[in-house]
Amino acid sequence: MKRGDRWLIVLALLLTGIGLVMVYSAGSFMAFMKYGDRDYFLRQQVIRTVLGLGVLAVCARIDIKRLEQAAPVMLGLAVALLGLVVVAGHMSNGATRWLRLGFASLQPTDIGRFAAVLFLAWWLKRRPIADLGFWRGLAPPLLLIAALAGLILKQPNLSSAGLLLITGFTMLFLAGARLRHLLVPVAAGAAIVAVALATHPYMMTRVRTFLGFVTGGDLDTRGAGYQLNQSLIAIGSGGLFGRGLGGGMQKLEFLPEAHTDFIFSIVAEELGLIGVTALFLVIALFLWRGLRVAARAADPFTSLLAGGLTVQLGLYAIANLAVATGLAPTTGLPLPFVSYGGSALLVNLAAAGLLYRISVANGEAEAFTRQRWGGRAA
Amino acid sequence: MAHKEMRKSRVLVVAAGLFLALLMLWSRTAWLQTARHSHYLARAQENQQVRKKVLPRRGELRDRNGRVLARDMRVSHVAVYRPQLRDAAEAARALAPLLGIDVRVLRKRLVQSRGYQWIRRDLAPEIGARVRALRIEGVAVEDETRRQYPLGEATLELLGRTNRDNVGVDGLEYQFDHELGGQTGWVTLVPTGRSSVQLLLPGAERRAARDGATLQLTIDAELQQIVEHHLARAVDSLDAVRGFATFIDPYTGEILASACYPHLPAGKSKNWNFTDQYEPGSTFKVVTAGAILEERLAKLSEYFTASKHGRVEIVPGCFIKDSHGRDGYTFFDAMVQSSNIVLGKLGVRLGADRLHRYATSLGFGSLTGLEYPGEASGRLRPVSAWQARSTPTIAIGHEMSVTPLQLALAYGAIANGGVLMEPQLMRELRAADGRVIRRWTPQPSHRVFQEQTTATLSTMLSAVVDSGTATATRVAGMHVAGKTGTAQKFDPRTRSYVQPLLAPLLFNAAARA
Repeated sequence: MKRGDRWLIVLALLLTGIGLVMVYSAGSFMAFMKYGDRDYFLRQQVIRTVLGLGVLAVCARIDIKRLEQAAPVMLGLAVALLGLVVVAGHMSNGATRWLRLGFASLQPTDIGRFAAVLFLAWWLKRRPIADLGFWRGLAPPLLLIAALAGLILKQPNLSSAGLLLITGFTMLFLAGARLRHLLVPVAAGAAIVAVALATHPYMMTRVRTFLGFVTGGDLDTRGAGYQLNQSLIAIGSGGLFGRGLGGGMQKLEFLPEAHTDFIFSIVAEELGLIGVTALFLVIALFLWRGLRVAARAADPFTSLLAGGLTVQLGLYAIANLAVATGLAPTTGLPLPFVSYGGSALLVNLAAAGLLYRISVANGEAEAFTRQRWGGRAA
Repeated sequence: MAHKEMRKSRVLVVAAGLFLALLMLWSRTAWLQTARHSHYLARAQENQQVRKKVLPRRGELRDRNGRVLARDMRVSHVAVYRPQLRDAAEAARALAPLLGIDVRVLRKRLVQSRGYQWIRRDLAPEIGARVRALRIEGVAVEDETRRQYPLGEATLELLGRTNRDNVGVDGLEYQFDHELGGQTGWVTLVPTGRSSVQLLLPGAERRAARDGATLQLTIDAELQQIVEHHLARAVDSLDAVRGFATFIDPYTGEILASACYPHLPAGKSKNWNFTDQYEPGSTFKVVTAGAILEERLAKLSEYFTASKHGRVEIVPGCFIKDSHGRDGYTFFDAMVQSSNIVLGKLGVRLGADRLHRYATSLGFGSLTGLEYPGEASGRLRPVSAWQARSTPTIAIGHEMSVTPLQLALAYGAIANGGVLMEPQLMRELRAADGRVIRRWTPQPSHRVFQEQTTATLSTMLSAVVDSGTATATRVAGMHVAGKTGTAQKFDPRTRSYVQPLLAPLLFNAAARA
């Protein structure tokens, strides 16, 4: 087997490593207060990382043909899990998102978003929308994604559902959908957001907090804006060089979810703009290498899969960073690879593995082409 | 291949979108971390820091022999916060033996308590620690410092007292509050966001509390107690309004004891020896006599006529009478028998200027410089304000006022061969780390009389005790000299001198003999 784009592995592992360090830094105090064990979160995350490395290794060697064939099955499984959450999920923070498996809890949303990308790539290869028009080409996958998003929304988890829709939409765009056709899902999406806000009070509160902040700059620092306020204090007080690794203060129960959704704020507080810039560079580099794989792939399935996975990771990162910096309403989205969390890390490392695998396949195909055309290939 | 080309361009569009979003987020973060840095740093500080006071230990007051006169004592108070107390009965069972309260009584009090209430105050700190170790929710232990005075009320008027916050409010506690109080330290603690835990982080800013300095006095605690005891007996048996006594070492000016009786409550008490002024009366005659001797204006044997009955007009308009009249006295006898008429005449012979000069030279009319709050200066008007009758009147100790301390120092000068000493109440101020901040040593002020003069005065004053007006103060085996005086105190109620106060003043030259 040829060598693939090793940057993908290196950058993913770099982000995971940053994650381990920051999870320990941001979470040790809370772990101590909650479990009397400051290493609790670190230990959990190390176990998941080890598991994730295994998943990554498997995905980096997977047979793409078989993966393609398994796509519908994966989707079926994901739908079943998401359905189960609705029926028997575990409640936390006002939403039911977890499945308790005795030894661990699982967020089926992560499996769902991964399966959705896989299935969409499978579907769009078989029914190229560029040739089929709106109703036969664009509508079926759109409805499917919408249905899946609806299941996630039922938890309720607006942000993940929204990101899934945007990921699907971007994949349709990558698959060559006509631009005027794409206006329809945009309109539909706007309508869905409006309905969701009207029916879920907690979302509306957050959005109102957000709008108040963006328009007036003020925050209800004790109520709904508490978390964002604490996050901004963390980021802002970090300054150019930060307080030093481990020297953050905001993780001392000021900033809730410091080790998960708001880990970026702690990075900014402890490592300053220097560290933030480095983190942004690593993320950007990873996205670039991922999209490069998508662009080079000859096969529509692998291209769309690589594009979908990369876009999905990018969207999660952007959404997470936007929430932490106050540019988006507060929601619970993890920063890929970095945030504490099991299912997300496993799925993200699987994605990194797959991206690497596709880059290997691209290399093989290009080598084959070169051989065939006698070195005339550019 | 057309599909692949199209896909490539669309990937570029997506990439552009993602990178643009990242760039925007980076800019936002950079703005927060640079332009808004100081704003958020300030917010972070008010968020994350509480300053907690670390109380210093107030310095001790000691007597000249190192005996402790005042010290800080740690005490614990136990309080209950009813809303947090779950099981009053169980808390009562656990606390009762420690607090020394009957279980049933305590339970009743706990049940009936509302809000935050003291259960027992001023407990030993060990008991406070044991209560704290019980970790009963709703039961709080607060530590505090209390000032303790081992001699009790004795020395109250000298040392002063501190208030609830351990700040000196009168006496030496007030005068040296800054040094005794030390410096309150603080430490920045990090309150955690939601729980009530406060963390002391390794990098916490802190300022150590600096314990107060120890002040050693010239007072002899034992002597002070004896003086107070006898003063109290005297005041009680004579049914006097009040009494005071000061002992000084004439050769050093050190104050050995300074007592007042009755004791007034802290805050109202003052040391009358330093803060009150009286007409010295006959005790002041020693100044006139000393000046006459020093200026050689009369011999001891010189005879002066007096009057057996009634008054004598010394200068026009100024009538003076003796309490037990004789037709005349020698100078020496006039002092021993305390003749107002003769001393008034001597005053006139001396003249206003010289009288004023010697009085001033002995320290009358001005503060002695004793570092004691509220010291009075006494009153000695300038000669220009004197009338014709002032000279003989002042010569016998009227129309002026002095503090007991001034009088003691002036007599001390006679015992000390004519050299006036500065009064000294403190010996040493020593910081908690052992460094001496300030040391007081005996300071001679200046020479007032020649030694020959003081020797003569001593003889006169000894005669006062042996055969004169102060025979009651004789002490077997001791050489005592002194002078009595009947002071007059102006009573503001009746606006007249109605309350004669006996102020016997002794000076003990035994050590010299």
